[in-house]
Amino acid sequence: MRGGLLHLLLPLFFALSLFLGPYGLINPFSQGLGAFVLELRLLRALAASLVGLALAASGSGLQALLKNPLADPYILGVSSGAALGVLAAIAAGFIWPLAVSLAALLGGLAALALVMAVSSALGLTRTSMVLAGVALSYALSSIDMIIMMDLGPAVQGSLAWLFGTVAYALWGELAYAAPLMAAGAAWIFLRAGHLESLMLGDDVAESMGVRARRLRAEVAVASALSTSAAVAVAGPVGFVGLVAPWIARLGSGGAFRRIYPLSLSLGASLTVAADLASRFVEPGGMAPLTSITALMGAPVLVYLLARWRG
Amino acid sequence: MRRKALSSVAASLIVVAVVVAMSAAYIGHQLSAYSAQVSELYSAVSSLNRTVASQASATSSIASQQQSIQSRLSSLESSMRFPASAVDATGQQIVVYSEPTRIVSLMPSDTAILFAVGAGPQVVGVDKYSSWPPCLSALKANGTVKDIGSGWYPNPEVILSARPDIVFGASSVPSNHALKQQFAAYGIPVVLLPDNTIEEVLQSIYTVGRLTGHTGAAQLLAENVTAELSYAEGSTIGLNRTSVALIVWPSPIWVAGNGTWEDQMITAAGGSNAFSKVSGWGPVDPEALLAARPQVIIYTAGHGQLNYTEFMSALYQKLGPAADSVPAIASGRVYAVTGEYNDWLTEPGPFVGYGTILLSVLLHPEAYGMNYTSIPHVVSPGTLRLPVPASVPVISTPRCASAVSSP
Amino acid sequence: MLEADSLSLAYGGRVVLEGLSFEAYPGEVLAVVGPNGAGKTTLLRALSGSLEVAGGALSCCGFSAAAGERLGAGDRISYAPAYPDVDPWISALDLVLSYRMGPRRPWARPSREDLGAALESLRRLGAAALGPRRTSEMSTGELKMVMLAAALSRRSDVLLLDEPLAYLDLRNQSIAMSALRAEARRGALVLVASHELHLLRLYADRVLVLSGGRAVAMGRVDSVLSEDLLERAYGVPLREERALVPSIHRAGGARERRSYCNYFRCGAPGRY
Repeated sequence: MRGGLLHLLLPLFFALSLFLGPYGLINPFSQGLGAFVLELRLLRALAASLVGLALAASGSGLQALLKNPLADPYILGVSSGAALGVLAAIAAGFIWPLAVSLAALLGGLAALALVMAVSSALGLTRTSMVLAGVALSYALSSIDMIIMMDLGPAVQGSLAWLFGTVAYALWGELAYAAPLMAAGAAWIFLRAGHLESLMLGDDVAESMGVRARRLRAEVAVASALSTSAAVAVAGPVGFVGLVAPWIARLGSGGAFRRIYPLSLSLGASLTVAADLASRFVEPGGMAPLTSITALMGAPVLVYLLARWRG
Repeated sequence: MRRKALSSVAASLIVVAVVVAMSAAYIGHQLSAYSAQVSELYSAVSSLNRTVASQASATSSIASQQQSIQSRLSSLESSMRFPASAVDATGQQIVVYSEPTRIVSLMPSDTAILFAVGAGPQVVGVDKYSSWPPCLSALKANGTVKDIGSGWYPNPEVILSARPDIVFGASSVPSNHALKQQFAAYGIPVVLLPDNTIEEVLQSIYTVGRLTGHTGAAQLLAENVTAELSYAEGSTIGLNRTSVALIVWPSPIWVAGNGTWEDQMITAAGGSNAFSKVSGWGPVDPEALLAARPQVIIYTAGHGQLNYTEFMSALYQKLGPAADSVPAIASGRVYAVTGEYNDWLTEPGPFVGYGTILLSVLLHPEAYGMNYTSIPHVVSPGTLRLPVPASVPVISTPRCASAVSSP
Repeated sequence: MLEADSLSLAYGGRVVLEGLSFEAYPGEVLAVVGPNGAGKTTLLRALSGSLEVAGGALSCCGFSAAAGERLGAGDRISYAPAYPDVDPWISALDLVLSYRMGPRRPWARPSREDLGAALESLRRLGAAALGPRRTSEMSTGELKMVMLAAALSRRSDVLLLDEPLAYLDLRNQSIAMSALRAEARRGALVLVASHELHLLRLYADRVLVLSGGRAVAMGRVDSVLSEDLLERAYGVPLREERALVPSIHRAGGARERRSYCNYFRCGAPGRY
């Protein structure tokens, strides 16, 4: 039942996120500016939940698929591709929100396509996928750095995106990104049985009818879909995709079918909580999401690992 | 096992149901709130129509006619100012129905323009980097003006907690665009001012004046800035253009290349940009200084954070003995600009005219009857007085309303 | 019910087995022996459905595969690999449960029946205490026992076990051998690839000897495993190096079995 209780964190943080903020407590039935701020808080909380859910889905799927406990949603190069898309758009002058988020989405998907192409030529094995992803990430990051240097003083604007935030989410963005995130997460859910069999060993899974090569392609695409959509909404938010599956695993045992729903809910909770905290870190300001998810997630992970040593 | 499964399924369903219900309730509520607002706006527009119509039908005796004509003129003048419309850098038309009384500014240059056209008393929020006029810090301290944090990475809720009725930002910052779309849903206009060229700076001054009800002052300010620019141009007309490198960051070295307003200022001040091949602001190797051979090097040193001596020693370190082959270094015409002078060269605001005059003094001191050896290496309001005759219009430092003390 | 007809198998571009023809029946334990690289694992993988048939035909329990196809017998077959490569964080009980439930139904939760069968399977192999422990915290031998328990938990018609006795201590070996015999008594066909030649008499009915890419012998364990054959198959001069495989040389297999079992308590299932 321990795992079940953790699900309650999400409505708790969601509700806190609606009540707390620099504007103060808002009477939910008031009209006017207060109602609008409440709507913005709702938008932020929804965006944060969806982004956390998508990243956790992607992280769990990739950790099971690649049998790598350090896998995160960006291991296949999606965030570098998205960052390149965004920086290229900003450098070319397309800086309005819809353009930036579409550039992120397309950049992430393009990076995955490249990684899959390279990895397919090498047999689409786990090792080739990880190597291609890491190599592409480094290559794209170097191009990113060149563009950032070129932007000069305007680089500050792109840094806001690079550190990840849901503060600038728009209903329109969520409208197109949410279905993509949900589709990716649902696809991985449909393959949860296959991924659980994969935990028993490739040959055992194959003997049960799981086609490992095809599964790798499917889960990679599904994870890239939900990750790219999440990055399009909030920028590359780090650490959630790595730590949510871990807390789920430590909280409810190792079987993939059991940890998957829990990791989705924990990912959403963590991101909503981080967004809530980011409003209060600097008086009058805002902290980037990635720094807070890491600051919050790392101690939790260490504590859980220490407790579950035995 | 089954019970466990059922209860976790139930818990998840409860979570989903709660979230969906809350969102549905709030969204439904907001929709009805918005329809209420729309009908409010509609009645405001129709009442404006009625006001104009009623004013057209006033009659009385000659003396009272004269009085009423005069009062009609002044109220017509104020009602002619509003509703006011202007187009911002995104091409969107912004309509303001009545004089804004709660203005928030996200950029130091916007703040400067607002106060310079006289909209200071209407400002209730500025970003943390705004520093002109000097009494702003006192206003922030006593709470009249709220510090809303960084304009590059603004927190929407903090801005809204200042209850603005209009926000001024910059079109080069992506987060400001996002803010514009967010606030549009509530009807708070976010004006994104363009800032790439001097023409755009003047355009911004007009826009700000129009939307805040200070068209006259904005007109005057724009004319003053233009006059200052002409003064600088006129003083250096016919002189050989001095090649100059304008360094905006020392390490790595970033210069202002072509397509920036600094570049236009250099041209107006009788100089030529040694790095005109660089587009926008860009990094250059120190060796590029050797190739470009500028006659003057100007470096915007902020408000004292960046040190002239450190800059010079860094240059010598990077260039070695070849440093002395650069004409500017050999002749000692390397200037670190600090203090308020620095802002004149780094903010696309109302001081571009003054900044151009400053540049013309540094590039052509002989036009002002000065010798270049008399210009100090650290150029600030305290070390160099600009030889500006009385005929050139000044931008007065506005007094801040209800300021405790002005420095 | 298992039939191979001129079966050829290739792995990594290399032909490993050619012209293999044999039959196996429910209720027997068939051992597959041969030198390293002879194709034992390849044969088991092809039977389990994770490798395509390169030539000939293969059929088992109502399914068949021709050249280029995989044998898709699904639930009818349970396969346990020689060296388990499992997720280190999963517990032994979870391993058995996941194995039993298979890859279908993403929303599936183990039923009471599943849990009962998993615990029973672990208990039968003396591994009930390992239930809550993580696989990363077990020795290889313990993990092999858990894997065997998993394969047995499905009560399939065909069991394909690659080196089930490797890494096991003497007690676990005898427990495992009893379990295999019990499965055969239940009516399953148990195919075992093994190197432990001296134990074959204790649990296997027939043996298939592979060498040089072909089958060199098949038949009852007592009759087929002669010094001569083993010399030819393994390429080892046994007659000169008697010390290598001492127990093979002794005649009287039944007496061997009795004394071994007296010492290590082989017996009917349910004893442990």
